[in-house]
Amino acid sequence: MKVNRFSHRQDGSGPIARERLKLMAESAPFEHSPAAARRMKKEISDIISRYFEFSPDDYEIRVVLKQNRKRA
Amino acid sequence: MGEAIVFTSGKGGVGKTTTIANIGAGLSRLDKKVIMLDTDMGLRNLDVVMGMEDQIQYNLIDLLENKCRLKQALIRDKRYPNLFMIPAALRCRKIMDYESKLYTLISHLKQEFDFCLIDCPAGIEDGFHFAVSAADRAVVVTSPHISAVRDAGRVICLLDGMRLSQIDLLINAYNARMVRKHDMLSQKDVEDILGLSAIGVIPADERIVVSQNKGIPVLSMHTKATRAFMTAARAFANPRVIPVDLNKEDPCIRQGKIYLGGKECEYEG
Repeated sequence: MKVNRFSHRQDGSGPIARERLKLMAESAPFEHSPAAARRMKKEISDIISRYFEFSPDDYEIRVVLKQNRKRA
Repeated sequence: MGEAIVFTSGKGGVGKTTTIANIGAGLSRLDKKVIMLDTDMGLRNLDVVMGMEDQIQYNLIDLLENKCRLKQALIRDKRYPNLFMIPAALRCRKIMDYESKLYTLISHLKQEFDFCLIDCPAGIEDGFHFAVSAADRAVVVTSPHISAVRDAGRVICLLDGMRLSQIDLLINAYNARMVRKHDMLSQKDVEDILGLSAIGVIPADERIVVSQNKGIPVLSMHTKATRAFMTAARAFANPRVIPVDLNKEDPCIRQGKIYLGGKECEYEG
């Protein structure tokens, strides 16, 4: 007779996998081309410095791909 | 005018070839004229799964190089009406050189057949781009395993950038018992993560191994996977009809059976 038949176990490994996949999806849009991401950020920063007198230390450029956000 | 559908997954071993063989057989049972193309050069397997490995005379590359006529490269399945296959070559170095020829071939095949199912190799290199290049729509096959879902996500991102009319998701090797115990990603989890709803969910089934050992599609047997493949095939044949699952067992009845000493099936729900 299995004892755990009567205890309703809820803490399986499925939710862990789900959370890990969600984290991967949010953190890795530029993982496959870090060099391209760097170049693009440099170009954007050049454009900003053309119009405003900000030092590059005063701001941060972040790219969020909305369309692919859900996909790992 | 038929449709060219590529079955792809990114990760290997999730059941692309099994799915193609059974969906192909299912569609032919629904009176559709179906051709299956294996583009997994070097590692061809569709012929073995279908039990046709001893009938191969010419392959896809021979056909693309005009070394044979279409009729010579086609292998007809004697067990199913209107089910044909073209096997892959055992070696091919520069696959991308044949891309335009494949497009011409598939445009021609679409005039003769209702469905042209393309078996894509694993990975996202040249073989993947070759297989997808001539397709109208794609089916991403995945299993509810974390690595397969992640690779499926990458493949969907790549497919998004190509001119496909539709991208569908098909979940294979689904173990409902493990999902109930919260030990496997559920259908909803996979759908949420990938942002697509599944066109079919195929349960993990030991009989698939048995059927492949014999070289017959699992559709020739009577198991849960057979029903799931037929439901998926109907979804391809009649996309507007919403399937109703009449075989779903009530959870109370299942629990009752277990308490009365019944053994819960290892694989199926």
